[in-house]
Amino acid sequence: MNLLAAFPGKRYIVLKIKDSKVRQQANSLGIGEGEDVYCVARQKGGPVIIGSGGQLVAVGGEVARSIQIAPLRTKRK
Amino acid sequence: MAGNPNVGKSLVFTNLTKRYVEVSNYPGTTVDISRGLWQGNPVTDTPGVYALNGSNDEERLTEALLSDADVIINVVDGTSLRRDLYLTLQLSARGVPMVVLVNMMDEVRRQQLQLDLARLETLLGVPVVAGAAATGEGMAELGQVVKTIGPGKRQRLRDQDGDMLRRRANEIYQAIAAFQGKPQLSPLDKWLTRPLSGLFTAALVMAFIWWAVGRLVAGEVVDFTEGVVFKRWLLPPLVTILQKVLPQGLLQHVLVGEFGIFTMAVAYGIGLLLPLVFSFYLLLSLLEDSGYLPRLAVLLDNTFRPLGLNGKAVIPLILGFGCVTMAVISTRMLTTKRERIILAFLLGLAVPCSAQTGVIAMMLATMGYGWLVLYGLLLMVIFVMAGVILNKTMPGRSDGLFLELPRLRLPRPRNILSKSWAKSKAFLKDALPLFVLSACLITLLDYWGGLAAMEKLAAPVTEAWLKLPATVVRAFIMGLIRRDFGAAGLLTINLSAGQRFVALMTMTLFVPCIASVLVIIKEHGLLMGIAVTLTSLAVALLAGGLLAAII
Repeated sequence: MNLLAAFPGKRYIVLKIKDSKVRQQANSLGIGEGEDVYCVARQKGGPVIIGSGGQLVAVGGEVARSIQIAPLRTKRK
Repeated sequence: MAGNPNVGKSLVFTNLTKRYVEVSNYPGTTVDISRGLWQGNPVTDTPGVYALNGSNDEERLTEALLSDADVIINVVDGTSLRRDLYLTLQLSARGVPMVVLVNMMDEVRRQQLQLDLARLETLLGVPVVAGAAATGEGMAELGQVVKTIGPGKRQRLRDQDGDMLRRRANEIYQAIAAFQGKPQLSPLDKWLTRPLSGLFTAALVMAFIWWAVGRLVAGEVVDFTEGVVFKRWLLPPLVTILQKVLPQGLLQHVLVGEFGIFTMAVAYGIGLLLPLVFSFYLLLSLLEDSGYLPRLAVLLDNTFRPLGLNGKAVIPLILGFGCVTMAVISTRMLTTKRERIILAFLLGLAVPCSAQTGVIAMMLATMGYGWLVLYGLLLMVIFVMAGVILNKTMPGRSDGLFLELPRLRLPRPRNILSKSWAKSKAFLKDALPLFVLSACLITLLDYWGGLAAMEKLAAPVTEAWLKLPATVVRAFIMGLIRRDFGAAGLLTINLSAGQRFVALMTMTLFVPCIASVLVIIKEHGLLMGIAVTLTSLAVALLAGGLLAAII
């Protein structure tokens, strides 16, 4: 699934970011591959607002589509 | 000084330098940087960046500035340290003596976050100072550390390996910080980013900006600064003296003629533009510092996508209804050159500024509101069409929205005032010489009969194609200098309702005013200025001619 399908209130892990420019941006914002993120709010078709490490990041629809995620079931400490 | 956006870097900077701040436009870029003096040493505030990958103007400029630095002060936000450490690692890999200022410690304590800064110092191998620029905490200690600082431990990093850097940043963070809770949207945030309530608030904010700049400042304040201070107090005695001292002829025209250096360029630049520029920067800084802009961008992101723009484009666009010139400057907030060019194009083509809208609305309203609605609709269609065409034809790709939402906070008046003033001064320094130059050119054109010749030259277009009398050319040329002069000039010409509509529509789409073109040239180069001018001309004549044939 991609980030556009995330549900507000749920935690996810970022699996893969296809676009290299997006991956670079994501890394510098602290939401790179392997990070867990929290879906805070979502408009249909984007943008998706995600939370990670105390900060909020808005991700536009196109960008969100290139970010592959998976639901995170067990809470990691 | 380097750090991520919104970490309070500029507040640290004002705190350290107090005075002697100079904002300038770095050569070859469109990024403003501030320089100041601290303890007798020059300090440069680099633009806020998340990384040094050379992927935009800000990042490239920051790299260039850092290569001259003797000491790097890396400002990080204690509440978003995990993110900030990415840049910190990239900076420390440069091997330049560096100190890390962990800012916003007041907020860290309020959120009860546990940060082991001694451990951070060991892991990074550079000194770490805790501080809070808002209260001045840690600033004295920072001074001490900078004086005694030696070369730091060079982090062994393979350049550009973003995944590895991110892993390392996470490791360090996990070693020094206790677990952080889930981030949440505050109720205000929810209100601002939900479509219905968000759009309502946005409409209010934009209406306020339009009123404040378009009405209050462009009207009341400028009436005083230009109408009273210049036209009544300063210019009449100056004109009288110069007309007595100087011989009749060209020199007199150049200095105090209809389009003279003093009578037009200086009066226009300082009396009219300076108040507008300052109020724009004031409002823009307010929106910037409060953290509202990113919320607005989230709200309108989808609307702008077909035009090759993302949500951030809404700000310059709204400003454009106040003053296109200022709006072109504010396109700097867009990340790619492609987006800046698309928006500058659209602004120059199809956004009437407040100077015009007043006169145009008045003229159309007297003809019946149907014309006014038709005018608005046509303009919107042309705007969207031009945007879609530009998006389809321009090479490259626009960036999608990927934007941090900083905490909403109350802006600090002192910071806003000093920032706006420094930027206004910088703008004036750039713009005034250009105004003087254009005043000279127009005077010469008028003096040697160029204006009258142009009227004759353009007659086939005006009379045959647009079906308008030849005298409208003068109104159009006046419109280049000041839009409202141009539109008002049409009032004195005897036109039928249809002709009037054609003339107004053509004038709105016509070449942007001189100030806008100059700013477009300054921001995007001569070629771009010419392209916008010619395209506007072509679209204006095409649309005008078609309208003339239909109506």
